Amino acid sequence: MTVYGAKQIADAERDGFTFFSGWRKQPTQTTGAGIWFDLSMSPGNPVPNYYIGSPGVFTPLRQSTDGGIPHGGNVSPKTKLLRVFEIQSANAAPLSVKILDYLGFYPFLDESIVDEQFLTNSTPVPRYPDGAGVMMMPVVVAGQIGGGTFFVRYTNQDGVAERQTPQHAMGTQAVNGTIITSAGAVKNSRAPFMALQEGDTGVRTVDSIVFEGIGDIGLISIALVKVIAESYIRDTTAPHERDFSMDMGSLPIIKDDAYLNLLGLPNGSLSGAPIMGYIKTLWV
Amino acid sequence: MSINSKDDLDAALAAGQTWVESSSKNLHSVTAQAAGIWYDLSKGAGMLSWDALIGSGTNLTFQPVSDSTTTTATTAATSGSISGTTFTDTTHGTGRFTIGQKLTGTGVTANTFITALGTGTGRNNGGTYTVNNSQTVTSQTITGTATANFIKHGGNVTPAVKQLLNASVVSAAATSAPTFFQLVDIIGFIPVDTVTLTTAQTILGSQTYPRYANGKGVKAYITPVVVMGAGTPTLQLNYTNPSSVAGRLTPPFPSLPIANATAPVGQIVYSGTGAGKYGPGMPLAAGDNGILSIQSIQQSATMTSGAYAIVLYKEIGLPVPLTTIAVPGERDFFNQLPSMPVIPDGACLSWLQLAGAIHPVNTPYNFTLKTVWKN
Repeated sequence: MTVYGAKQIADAERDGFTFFSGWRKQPTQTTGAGIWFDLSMSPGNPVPNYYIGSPGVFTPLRQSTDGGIPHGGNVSPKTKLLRVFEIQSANAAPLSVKILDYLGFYPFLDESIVDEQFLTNSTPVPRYPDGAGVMMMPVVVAGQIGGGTFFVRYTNQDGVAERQTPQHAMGTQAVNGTIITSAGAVKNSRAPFMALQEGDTGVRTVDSIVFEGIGDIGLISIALVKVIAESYIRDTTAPHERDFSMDMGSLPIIKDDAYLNLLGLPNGSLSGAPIMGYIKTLWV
Repeated sequence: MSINSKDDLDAALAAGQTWVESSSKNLHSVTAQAAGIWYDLSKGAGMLSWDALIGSGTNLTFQPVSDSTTTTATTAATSGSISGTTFTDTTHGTGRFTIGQKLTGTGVTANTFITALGTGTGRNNGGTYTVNNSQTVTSQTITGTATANFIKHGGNVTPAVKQLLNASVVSAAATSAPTFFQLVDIIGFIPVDTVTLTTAQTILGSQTYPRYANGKGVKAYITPVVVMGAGTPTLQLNYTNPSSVAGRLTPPFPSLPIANATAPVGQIVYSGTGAGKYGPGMPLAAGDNGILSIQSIQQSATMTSGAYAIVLYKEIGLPVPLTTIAVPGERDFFNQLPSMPVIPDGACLSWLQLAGAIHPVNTPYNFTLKTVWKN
């Protein structure tokens, strides 16, 4: 793995190989304490991602077509790195967030169908095609009652198909954007990402989904995501800036055309709470 | 020579080779800042007064900016008058009149400044402007002079290298937070009066930057200098990058920047919420590390009225966040990578702000910055 040193970073800054942008989200959804929530579905800048696509058909997400938190244009053959990510809010704290590269999603999976639903993978995953470190994130896009369970069959990071997740509980928090498996103190509540079969470290494709028992009434989308970094709002009176060169010793890589957005673990409702910050990338 | 160690820093400070500048900026006096929108605070009142330079000059012509730059605008011969506090540009001569310009001419009271636009848009015949001194002047040639009025940082120090040591901001006003501020060095601008045209408008004259001449790290934002009309066109720059590759375009993916309707003076016109909103800089083409020169700007539709400036700038260091009313936000630039950004001679420092809430009109923010250099 390439190590990016202080001189490379300083040179990139000197020569202008940097990108800086502000962002601001203001969720309208009433989120719950301790329940993971997909901030990509919230209004603001960047514009919301509503997981629109043909049911069950993998739909890629890209900065060039879908937006997301801007990080600058494509830089290949150079490598783009996340230099600084800052987040602050006068209303929402504490709030843990993950900066994700959303690779794409399987839209509108119907919880009322209890037969195995086979998904379509005619469109390749646009980034991280080997699946290493790619996670599944099931997002509510039409509210459910909750209390049921489901599992997923997928192809793992080694290209082995018919891998199966453990059983996952469906929570009762039904607002759109909720990670449905973030069900709190309930058996098989696993979040924000779905647990994988023993030994697996990533997902290339999702192949099918099974809602167990009598199913439910809602819809979910399963997003394929890669975690870029973590951050936090610890207090409403303090910004949280993470300089990945100074604080973490390593700058996360951002792929060309990555669709970046945020996943959050709120401490209550985020409805109406402005969350803002800035991002700085550089490329070497 | 630059500061290369803690010992260098201590020695420079002990020798008094340092400058502390306190300034304040009030937000716009007529328009509250909207949440999620970027603003150029040089166009706010305060201590530094309203910048008169950006937006002056000649339509579509690059105007370099240093801390000693002045520009002028004049009425046609004997076509200016002042009645009470209203200056009338009966027949326009040259340049653009802007808020903050100092007016001179036979019979004009000393230290007369334009304080507000009336019907004047800078260069229209019959345009009126409010001035600070009540007086009567008839049928004179009146000249407006805009002087660079940016944040002071300690004067020229070459051959020493001036560097930014720290910066802070605080406000005790209601609803003044959350927000954050980015320090920039403004190196030039291109005034655009022809806001109803939808063809590509060619930028005139040569473009030699007074600083960062290679264009590396130079970016552009667009801000009204006269409140814009109802149009919401897309905006696209055609520019040359620092590798001298011409024909680079603001990328249309996922959307070209889209101007806000009736954007006030100082707003970064394509920032905000929704598709086509960016900020603070105009997006650059893939991989580009700056702007060496701008060849043209094109709107997809008319802006109906108003005037704007394409401002060329370079970011200085990382932003200063402000989360809480009456609690200062501070950035120590010593413990950064790279440490202590360079402030070149002639730099025109200003703050850009991303409003995190609806900040009321005239909200005051107080800034301090400290520079240091080693002789």
